[in-house]
Amino acid sequence: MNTRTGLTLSFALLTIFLQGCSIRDMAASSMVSFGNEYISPWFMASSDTDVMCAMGEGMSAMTFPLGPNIDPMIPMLTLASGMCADEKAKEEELRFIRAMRRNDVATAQDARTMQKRWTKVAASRQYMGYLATVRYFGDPSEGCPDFSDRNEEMAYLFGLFGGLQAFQSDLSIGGTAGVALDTMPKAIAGLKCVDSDEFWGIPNAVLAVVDISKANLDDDQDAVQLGLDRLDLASRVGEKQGVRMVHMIQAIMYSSQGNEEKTKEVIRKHVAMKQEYPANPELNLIDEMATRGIRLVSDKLWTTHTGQRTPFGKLGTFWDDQIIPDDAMDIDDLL
Amino acid sequence: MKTRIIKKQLLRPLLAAALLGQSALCFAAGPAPITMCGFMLMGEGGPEHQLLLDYQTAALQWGVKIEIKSYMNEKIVAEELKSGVCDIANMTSMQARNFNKFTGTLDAPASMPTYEHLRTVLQTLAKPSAAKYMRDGEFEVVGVQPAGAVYIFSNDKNVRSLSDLAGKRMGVMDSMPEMRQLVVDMGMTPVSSSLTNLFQKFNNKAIDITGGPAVVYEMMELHKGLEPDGGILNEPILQGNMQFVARWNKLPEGYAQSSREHFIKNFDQSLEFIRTAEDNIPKNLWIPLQEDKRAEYNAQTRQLRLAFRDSNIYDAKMLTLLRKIRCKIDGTRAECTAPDAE
Repeated sequence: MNTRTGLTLSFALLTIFLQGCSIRDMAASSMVSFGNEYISPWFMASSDTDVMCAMGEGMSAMTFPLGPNIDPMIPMLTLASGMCADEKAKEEELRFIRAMRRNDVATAQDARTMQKRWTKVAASRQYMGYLATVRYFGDPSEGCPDFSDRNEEMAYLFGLFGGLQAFQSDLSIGGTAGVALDTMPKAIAGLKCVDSDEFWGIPNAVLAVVDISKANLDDDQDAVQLGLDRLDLASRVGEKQGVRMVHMIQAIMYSSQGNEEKTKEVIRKHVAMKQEYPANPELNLIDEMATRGIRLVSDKLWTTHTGQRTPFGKLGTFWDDQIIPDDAMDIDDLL
Repeated sequence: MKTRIIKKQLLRPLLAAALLGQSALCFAAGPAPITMCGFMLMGEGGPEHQLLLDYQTAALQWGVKIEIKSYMNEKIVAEELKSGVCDIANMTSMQARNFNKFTGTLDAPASMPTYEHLRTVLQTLAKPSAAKYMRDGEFEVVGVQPAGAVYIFSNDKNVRSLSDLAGKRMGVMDSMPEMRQLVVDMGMTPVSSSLTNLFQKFNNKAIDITGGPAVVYEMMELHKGLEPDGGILNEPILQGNMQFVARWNKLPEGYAQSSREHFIKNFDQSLEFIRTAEDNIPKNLWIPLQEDKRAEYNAQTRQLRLAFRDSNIYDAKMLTLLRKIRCKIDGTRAECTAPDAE
């Protein structure tokens, strides 16, 4: 092969290589803009959270290899796929509770094993979304990014939310998914950059929960109350916008505190509000995700007390609800 | 007629056996119910809770059905255990000291320089022959779980021994009055802190020194406090641990021993997360203890242990056990031949 032929071949290879790169980048950019313009609005308006779950898992192979330009789209997908794995973990948790109720050690231990396996999958997926966020927007602890539009800000919120979920999930399985421990402080720092009122009160609600947890550790009741007031305020922002994700955050917080009465109260409020005021039609999905999360909390409560999950159509009710009100008429007064 | 008698004779024992079996089933005692005051900083669903769920499952095998009540304050956990709200609880070594001074001495400063020391100590304590030391009054320690070595984080890399700490400001938790005294005794200035603002104060340079396990480095972003010239003394000042304390007369025979063995079986798993966190700290941040200062460090930490022993906080027997294990692993230590050994 002479020099000329060699050069020609090298040039051709370089061209193909560059073209390959640009094709991938172009595909990624097109996917993001198509996603922002068409997929995301349709997706957000849908109320079928199972489709969201399947899409999060199914689209991974199509999108993730598209390189850095696809990064803004990843948090939405991993939020969905992480949710699927997390639900499987929670399903195993219910199996564990049922086995423990009937003193079945082997099944209980098997369920714990499966719960941990699925939690690890959830943590890995959620963390992937967070890492994509950091790649695209920069380290959250080093200042706020300049969002070009609302979609970017939402991707940032989802990515940070996923980071917090990943941190919690991984911590619960002894760090086996390899989520960096500074994910939590970084994600918390980043949440302050998102306009909470624009995003249904979620950022402020998460920040309030963090402060409440800290105040509880220090047994500072004034600070706890302040945090609860802020959480309540954040909840009202979401309620006004027809996206009641903060209810789910509240239910999870009270549940983690072991406060059954407050957990029930939030679940009742969520169900009552959903019946009275429909979700924002453009954001059905987020509201439905909240309901789905709340149902998981309710299922755990129901299973712990009765061995079965929330009966069909009974979300917002509990096994020990008073069936006959105190002011019901007494037959002896009537006959 | 004969056949009927034979049938009767055969049926009788079968019937009796069946009845006996049934009554055994009816009257077989189910697992003993017991309430646990579970100390979990991160609440239900958090890492400590997950550990307790595994323990709860294992306990069912040993004949006990544990109901877990969650607490975020371990002082309340200790009070509730004492008052009978629960019959089993988990708490740090410092709180466990109120129930068993022997195991409550496991957090003595520099008493276990490596995880191998810790493993040897915990294996020794989990042997049936050590059971007599686990019980004190109505309570028994039914397990010790490693929680990671505690290191000294300093904003000055020149801190290479305990004497270098003199004059520095150190965060002291209000809930640990004895710690305050220790800090004063070491010539430092104690700065009142809480669990949640301790590391914040270090990062804001309000204090120069803080102690903590390796996991706090990333979780609390301690690189901010360590910058630009700080470091971590590469010598565990103590081995943090969680102890499971129970009212022994509420437990079936053999439970305590099975439980102690359970924690030993999971020793490596408990430390995996902690070891990873230690490995993730940049190498250049670790300050090696200068070899020529090692003897001084050992003597100083020994003095601290003795002072705590003399003020009736630490148990002399446990200090002896710890010294013997240190000497078994490294017989060249000065304390191994000292006439006034612990």
